[in-house]
Amino acid sequence: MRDDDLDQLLRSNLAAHDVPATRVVEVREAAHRELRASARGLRRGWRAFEATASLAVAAAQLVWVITVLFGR
Amino acid sequence: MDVAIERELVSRLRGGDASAFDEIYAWMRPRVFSFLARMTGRRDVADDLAQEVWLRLARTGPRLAPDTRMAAWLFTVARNLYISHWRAHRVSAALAGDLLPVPPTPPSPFEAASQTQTSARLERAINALPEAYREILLLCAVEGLTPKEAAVVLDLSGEAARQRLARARTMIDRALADVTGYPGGAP
Repeated sequence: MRDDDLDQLLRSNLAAHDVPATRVVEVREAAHRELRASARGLRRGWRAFEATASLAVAAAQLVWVITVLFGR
Repeated sequence: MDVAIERELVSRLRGGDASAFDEIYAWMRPRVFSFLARMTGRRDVADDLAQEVWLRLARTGPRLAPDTRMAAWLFTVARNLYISHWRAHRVSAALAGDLLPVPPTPPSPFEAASQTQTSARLERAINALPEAYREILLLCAVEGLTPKEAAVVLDLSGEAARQRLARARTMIDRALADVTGYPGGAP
């Protein structure tokens, strides 16, 4: 049998199976919770990084100012 | 699914959009479940593993690469979970040793549920394939992945995937021929 014929035979005769509707709802709700938590965690991590970066820039500027004023 | 639409779904998922998850879930749920069911031969195990696949997508969604191909990603996770389950099951079976009698192998629920003789025969023939051949045949011939995409899922080189697929097709063709008596295996 040719490859295409075999694939066609398999696709047309092997039914796709699915989970029960109640299970679908359960999984979807649990996944939404996980997705929200994950997105929130990522945003929080990004904000913490931004805050740390801002602090580092401010500290560097302060060091520069002090060096300019009292460095000589 | 069109690559542009898939990219857009991934982009929305990366932003934490629950409706993007729902669209991917509706599109891929039966495919992931069917793949796992045919790999495990058990609906309850496939259900548990499939649930974990979707929770992992939800957890990882915001950190996915923008060019992630969803089908390949989901089948990779499903296969890894199946392998972990299989290893754990093998260890627990080995620990049980001679204490447990070996039960006769019943027809899988998918054989039993098959509507026609042809589909029952195909389910049996696929079930009888060695695992490595079964998985690549399911991914390429049934789920429509290209050998290149299947190679990513199975962690093989493209050439190895093509060779394995060719052998799997020969084996299933031969199995069908044995059953039907027709050369070439036409049912």
